[in-house]
Amino acid sequence: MTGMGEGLSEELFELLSFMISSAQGLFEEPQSYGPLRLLEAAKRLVEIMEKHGLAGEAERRIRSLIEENIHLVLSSEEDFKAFVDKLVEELASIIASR
Amino acid sequence: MSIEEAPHGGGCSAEDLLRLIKTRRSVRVYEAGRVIPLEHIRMILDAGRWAPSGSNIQPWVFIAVRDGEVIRKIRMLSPGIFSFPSAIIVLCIDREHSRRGGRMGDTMALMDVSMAAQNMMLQAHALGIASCVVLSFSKNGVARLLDLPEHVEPVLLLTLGYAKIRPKPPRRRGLEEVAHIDRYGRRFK
Ligand SMILES: Cc1cc2nc3c(=O)[nH]c(=O)nc-3n(C[C@H](O)[C@H](O)[C@H](O)COP(=O)(O)O)c2cc1C
Repeated sequence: MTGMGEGLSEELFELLSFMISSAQGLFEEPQSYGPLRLLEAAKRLVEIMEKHGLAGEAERRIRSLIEENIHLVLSSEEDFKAFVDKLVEELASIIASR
Repeated sequence: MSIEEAPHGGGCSAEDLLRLIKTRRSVRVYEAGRVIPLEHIRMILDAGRWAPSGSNIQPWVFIAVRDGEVIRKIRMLSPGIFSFPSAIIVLCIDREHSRRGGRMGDTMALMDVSMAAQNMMLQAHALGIASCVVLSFSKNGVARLLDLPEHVEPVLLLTLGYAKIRPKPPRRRGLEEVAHIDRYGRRFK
């Protein structure tokens, strides 16, 4: 592969590594780290999509919501959970309008 | 000033030290591409080396990673690293040393390395370098990546860089909640 394809495949490979090493860690980590890692993976996926012109308004909105709220996992599990619920509602509206 | 010549208290004011301790934050987003001078890395490692250790065994091995490509690869195996640090110190336990601690060896070694990590973070902070300890990384993955011998086990990563986002101080439980005086239940006020 050359050019953009090479960059894209390396970026996706980094995401793949993140997902596999997360799976290993999650056997021993706090339960809330499961949602945390999945949301981080989602955020990284959108970042790659954005970089390669594949993201639309909806993906960007999802990324910025994750970015703004992901830290809640450290301060309050309850608030973190409420945020994930809200994010899914937001996602449902996006899905409905497609 | 040599260590032997330093006055009691090391010549550092108690207020300054407490401020340093309280203003250290776990920073997770760093300025991209800014290099940490090798002299500063040396001071940070030196601070780690001077941590206390059970029976003065000093069971640690520190690997300072500055090569961007190696940092990228460690990050691929470390879900607990959120952005791109300028350097990573991999703090390891050398089982050939920790074994001398007897049955307590393993527990003690973890405590020793944790103390070294705190020293490093404070030294980094004093140099204007932000840091974050990371436990969420693949131990066997990083060991393989860095060619660690069987008896050297990575236990903690310390990411270092210049803060792009300085987080607000996470809440601390109050002193009266966590500290007791003379006996359990007599709250420290
Ligand atoms: C043993 C230990 C493991 C940690 N692991 C991680 C980690 O994998 N990733 C991360 O971003 N922060 C990690 N942290 C940082 C903590 O989240 C942080 O210290 C805590 O939220 C308090 O924030 P402060 O350090 O800014 O005061 C770790 C801290 C400790 C002591």
